[in-house]
Amino acid sequence: MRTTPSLRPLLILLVLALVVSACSGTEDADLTEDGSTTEGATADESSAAADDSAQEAPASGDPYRIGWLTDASSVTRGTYFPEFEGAQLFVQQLNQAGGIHGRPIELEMRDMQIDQELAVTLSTELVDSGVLMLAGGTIEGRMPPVFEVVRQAGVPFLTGHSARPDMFPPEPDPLLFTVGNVFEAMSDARVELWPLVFGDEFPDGGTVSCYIHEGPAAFAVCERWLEALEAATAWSAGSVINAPLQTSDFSSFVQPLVDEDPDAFFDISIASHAIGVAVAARNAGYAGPIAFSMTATPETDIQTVVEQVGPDNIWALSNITSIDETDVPEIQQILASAEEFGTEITPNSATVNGWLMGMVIADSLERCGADCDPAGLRDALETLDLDTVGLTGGPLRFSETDHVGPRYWTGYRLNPDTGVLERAIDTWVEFDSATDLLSPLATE
Amino acid sequence: MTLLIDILSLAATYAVMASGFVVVYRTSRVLNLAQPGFVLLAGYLAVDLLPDAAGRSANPWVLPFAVVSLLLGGAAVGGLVYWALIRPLAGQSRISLIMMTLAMLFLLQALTQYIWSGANSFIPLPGNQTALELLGSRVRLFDLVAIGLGALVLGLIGVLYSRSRFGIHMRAVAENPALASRRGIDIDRVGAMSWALATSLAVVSALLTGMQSPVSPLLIGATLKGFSVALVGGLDSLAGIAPAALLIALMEVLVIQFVDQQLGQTVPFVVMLAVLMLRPWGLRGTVEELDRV
Repeated sequence: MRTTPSLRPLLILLVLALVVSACSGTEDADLTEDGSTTEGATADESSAAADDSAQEAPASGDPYRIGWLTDASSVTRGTYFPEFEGAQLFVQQLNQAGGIHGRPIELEMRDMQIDQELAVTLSTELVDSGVLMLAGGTIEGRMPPVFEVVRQAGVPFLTGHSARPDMFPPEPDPLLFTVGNVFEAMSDARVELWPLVFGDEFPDGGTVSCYIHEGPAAFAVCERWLEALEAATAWSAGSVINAPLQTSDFSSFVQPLVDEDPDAFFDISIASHAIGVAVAARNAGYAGPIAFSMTATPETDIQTVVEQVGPDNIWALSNITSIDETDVPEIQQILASAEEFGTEITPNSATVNGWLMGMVIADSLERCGADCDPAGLRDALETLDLDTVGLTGGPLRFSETDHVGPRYWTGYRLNPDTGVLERAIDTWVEFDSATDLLSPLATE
Repeated sequence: MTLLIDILSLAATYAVMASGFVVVYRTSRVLNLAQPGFVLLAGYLAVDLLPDAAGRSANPWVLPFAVVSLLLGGAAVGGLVYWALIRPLAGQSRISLIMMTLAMLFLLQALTQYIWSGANSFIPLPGNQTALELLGSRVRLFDLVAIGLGALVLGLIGVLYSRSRFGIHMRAVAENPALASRRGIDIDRVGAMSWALATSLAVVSALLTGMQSPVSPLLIGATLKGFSVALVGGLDSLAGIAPAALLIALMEVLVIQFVDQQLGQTVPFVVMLAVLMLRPWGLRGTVEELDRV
């Protein structure tokens, strides 16, 4: 075929665009480690495994291959990629200490960004290649077609932050599991938690406004939580802000909040939205407490806000131990592992959540046995009973009727002098998926 | 007062975004769909190149130097794009030119994603929390700067087009390139200059949006609102930019604050559709241009 000379630049540019797009869109990060065996993967045991790594031979032989979907290169990378890195750190350390049944775990990462079609293509490719399970995922609206892929293949899926009713008790999808749930945001646990966290500042309660980005059921996250809070505590509901995901200028959205000047502001959204709204609110003159949900806004994002508007009155609610709690042995272990193996994103609470997912996978593989297959691994996941108290405030358990498990919530406040998150309360409030998830759903 | 400032600052940002589209279209009749990509690239470069507080306190001249460098760098990129990619397509159909700018947009999008991995970062600009008391309302300095900058940019472009020799050449090329060429006007130079101006305006757009929110891939969508402003004002009309930007910003802010926060984002495109149905050439565009598009 002959090309008109003057059209060549156009063709060259199109090809270049495709090449760069391909390069940035589907980075793989296959890991292969060597090693032998460890017995179990509870927090203590994995810690011990790491401590013994100098004595144990590294894992070797055929790896247990786990597919991992994440956003490695687009707008929610800050939220989801550290989760992969956390799991990766756990696996690297475990493999160095001997692996599972003498075999290494291999995480095969695929960058689905927040692209549903890409997610289906990549998950199909991973399942066809024979991975034992899939894990990770990005924003919830993009995941249902991936769940269809795993259903057809009979491969289990473990996510770190699901809002899908597919895995809610009492009849969860047999293949879908999660170590966190977005609906926790409006759970009774956080209703109970809020007055505890702000008890010293506002002993008589106050008004609280809420922000969530637009999305399926997202508006209910704020509304239901505010209603429940108002009914059960001395706090009253302020306005709800609900900006579309395509928004980049939040000035108009935060103005009602600034005019209302609530006693506190709960900023639940993700990534650019959570930090964009917080900065816009401060810039517009709101000086009250801003509380983030650390499941969506990890410490690194909070730090971005602090760099813009200063460290005063910044709070966070979390169902995972903050990476800033460096006196917790498990956090020390994660930081040491990050120091040894390196991460692209500074470790944060999402990294900790990924580490937790790594623990769940390793423990399930261990119990699944040397000849583990997807069906056996699914069964092992369903009988999970893991001591994760250092990272989550309590144990993590799955059952036939509960693929979410209990989680525990606590609160942090940023110390303006050190720039570090410190526990605002010593306790953890239990979130029971079997009961706490049902009333939010009834609101929809 | 706060509402008025909100509307004016948003209008200023939209106006600068729109002017990037209009400047190129007026001169070369190219629908420059790559402009949002240039804004995103400029935003990320501003995040990396502009000095933080420590850098500014060490040397106060670093910030203006970095801003001027970005503007000049932006202009150089625009000129280069014209010579390397647009000029060789002279004589080709308009659809080829539009496809070229669309390919550029995809390339810039992929390039920024490759380098910055979808990061959400604030441009380190000083004074983001400085506010003034104006008629009893708290007004953010950045909003006033945005309004002033928007007015200044539109004013300078207006003067450039109406008063300078180069502006006269641009108008001549826009109206009749063949005749302009026969009268000794260097069409390529004019084309390169208009692309250079547009990419410099992309830098200004990035700085203006960076005053309000973090730079992220969402900037592409935000800049497309500038495109709707350009269409509403008239793609070939500099005079149409200000009223179109004011109209869209006014409606958007009012809808967000008093009707529904979700609906606010649709306003630019609803206004665009309405204007295109009633007055397809835009508020101040020329009817003849419809045949050319």
